Amino acid sequence: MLRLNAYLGCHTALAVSAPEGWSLLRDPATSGLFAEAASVIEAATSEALAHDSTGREWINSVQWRLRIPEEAIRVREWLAIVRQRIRVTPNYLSGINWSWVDEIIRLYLLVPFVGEPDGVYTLLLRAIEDRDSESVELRAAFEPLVVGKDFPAVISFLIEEFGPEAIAFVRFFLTAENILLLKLAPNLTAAMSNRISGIEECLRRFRFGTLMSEDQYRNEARSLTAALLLVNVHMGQFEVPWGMFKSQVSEREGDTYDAFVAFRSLGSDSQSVGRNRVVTPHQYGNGRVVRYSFEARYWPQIFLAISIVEAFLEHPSFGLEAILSTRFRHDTLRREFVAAGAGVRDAFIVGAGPEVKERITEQLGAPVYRRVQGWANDLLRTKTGPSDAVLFDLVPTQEDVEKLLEVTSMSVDFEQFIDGIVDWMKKRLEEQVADARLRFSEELLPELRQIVARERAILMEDSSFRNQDVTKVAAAFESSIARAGQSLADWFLTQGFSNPSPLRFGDIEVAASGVFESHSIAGELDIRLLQGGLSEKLVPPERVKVCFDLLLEAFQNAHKHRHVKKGSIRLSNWIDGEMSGVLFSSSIVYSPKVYEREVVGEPFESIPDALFREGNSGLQKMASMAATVAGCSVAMKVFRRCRSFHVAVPLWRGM
Amino acid sequence: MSKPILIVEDSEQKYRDIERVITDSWDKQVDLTRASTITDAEQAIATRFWAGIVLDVSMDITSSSAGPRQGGHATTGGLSIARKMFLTGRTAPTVIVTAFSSFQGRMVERGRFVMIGLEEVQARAMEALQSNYLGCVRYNDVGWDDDLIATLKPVVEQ
Repeated sequence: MLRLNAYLGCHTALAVSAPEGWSLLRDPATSGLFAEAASVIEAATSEALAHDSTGREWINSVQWRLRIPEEAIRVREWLAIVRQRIRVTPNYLSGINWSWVDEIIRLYLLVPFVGEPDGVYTLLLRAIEDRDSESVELRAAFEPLVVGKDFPAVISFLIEEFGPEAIAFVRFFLTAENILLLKLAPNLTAAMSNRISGIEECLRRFRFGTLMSEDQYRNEARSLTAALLLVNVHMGQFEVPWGMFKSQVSEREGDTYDAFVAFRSLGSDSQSVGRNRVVTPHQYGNGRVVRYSFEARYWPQIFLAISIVEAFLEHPSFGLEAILSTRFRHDTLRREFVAAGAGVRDAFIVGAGPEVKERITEQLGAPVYRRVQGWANDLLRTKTGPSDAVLFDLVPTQEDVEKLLEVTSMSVDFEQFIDGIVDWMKKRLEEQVADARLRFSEELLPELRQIVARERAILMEDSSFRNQDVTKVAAAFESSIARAGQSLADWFLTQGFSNPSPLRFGDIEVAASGVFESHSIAGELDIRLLQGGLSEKLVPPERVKVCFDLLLEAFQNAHKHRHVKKGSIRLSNWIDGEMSGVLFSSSIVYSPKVYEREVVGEPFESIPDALFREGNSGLQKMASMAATVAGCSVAMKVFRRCRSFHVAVPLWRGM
Repeated sequence: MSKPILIVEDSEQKYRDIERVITDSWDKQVDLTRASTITDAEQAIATRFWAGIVLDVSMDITSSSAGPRQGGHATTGGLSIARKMFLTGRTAPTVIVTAFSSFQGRMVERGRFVMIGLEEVQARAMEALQSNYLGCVRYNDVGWDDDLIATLKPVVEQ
């Protein structure tokens, strides 16, 4: 406001109606100082903003309208104006006076927002501006709106209430974590699956646009595939979806790159000031400080390169800090060993009663689990100082940055620039993960064996248990821990997402059935998965999601058409001529209507085709998905009997 | 009459240790209830009076039979619980007990996530819980059990 006034030399409608513009005049005006002038300014500004002649004055117009309810603390009116006049526009600021909102929350808590569509819309705008996908305010306000609804009903509500902006709620707020917190899914896979089905439902209604482009949708679908690929315990926890990371960085830092290119084109190389050496300490997110020394002309490029490294270190889902904390230190690694130990407690061991097994495994397990956690806490960290003896360090040194400068100087566009940085990080990460795997297998696992041996010796000396029980239970425990250790060593692998492995059909079945976990627990749907045979068939990564969707569709139909209370679906191997696949057999409500028919499906040719194909519902949708998995046209056979429904779905050529 | 204390803790071992420490000191004076996920904790806080809460920071979001971490995990989930308590006007004297000294936080600087340390966790807990924030105990540090008792003492012996 002050800058605008200084620039223009007087009050203008544009300056006065700028965010917080009027608040600067308000206090003197209300205290009687130049009251007359203020009323003149107000009238002139109202007149000027009555018609948005350029279509670009909306932000001033909104601010001008908001000032009165803001001053009078008429919160509902204020929220209604926000919702009516401000559209969700990612990467742009709304100019909303968030300090005022904070003050309202301090005074009235969340009361004006809770269960109010205008309130949740406003809090969504804030969450988007703050890039805060975990907004507790928004979640708490949103909660009453979804009580008693399942996820599809929530999506329908959002579409009905917010129209095309429903997709903004799904994209920016209904993350897998928030879906779980709102109790709209029983587990993480189901939550991710719900999220993407919500996005798809919105896209079917409103198509791609500024709130969700085809590329963004593709990334969402990849996230689900990535999560599905991770269902296997043998998958490496350090696998990073680099493609997704690159596109996110490109979207976020694209403007910075353009600025850097513009700066480079000014030819600062030839100016002596550009050759001055500048030493700058840079602090990374984990607290590590590195001093870099470069000529001034290189700094824009260095800042950009460092920001890409930092983006990976701090990425909330698959950044290095997130991997080390969430996938290892925060009880994750320890729990895998605890689960292995619990298996022994629950196993049948001749002669050893349940109580004996429990007490012995508890005594053997406690120091083992402590050591696992200690090892993870001590070593699976990023280096924060020169003397830190940890296993991971991706912070570039002076020499590393010199190399990065060299590589990125040759880039012709931002994509190549990012590639240069990502290649450096991948190589370094691979070396460190390989070292971690070695330390895990050759140091920690032998140490765990020693701990078990030591505890066993203590138990043998103690007369609380019979020695034969101790021997048997300890042997079983040691084997179980060793087996778990061997499997868990595969967590320390990096290859995968650049060249992901196919997934067993059986693993996809397990993931899809997990989406119906709560229905199974409630006894509403009994899912019997394929045993042996074709469950070992491999599905290539690019077809994992469609295969998963096909299974969801089959399970969903079985649930929808089940008997009044209880339904079931059984999967069995099915072979017909050159094709093999799955026979889905489900129990249904009795009907004398009996028929057999064939449904032909053609593979989806593109993302829009998969989302928007005409007649894409029910059995036809399943046939198209089966054809996409098979990679060719398929003919699905459907048999309806009085109390059962069978669909033979060809998925592979040959057996 | 015994004081109802809610222990929000997902780790089995840590819960048992906390339970042992509290019952060793007060036994009949307290009535302990456990919430092992964020959703359970939020439900418990929304529907009952608690004389005190023992709150973990890194928490499982919900329970699931789909294997480790399939219920989702929030590394600063305990702080979300504290924040929601403030927003919904639910108050109870609360002590934070954590096994970790750094967390992946959501605080953004230029749109980035950063790791946050224990001091930041304490600052945020204090902001959310205000006068109901009793303090933070670092689980498994030497003397953590004494710290926990000392911190909870005003709640139980009031």
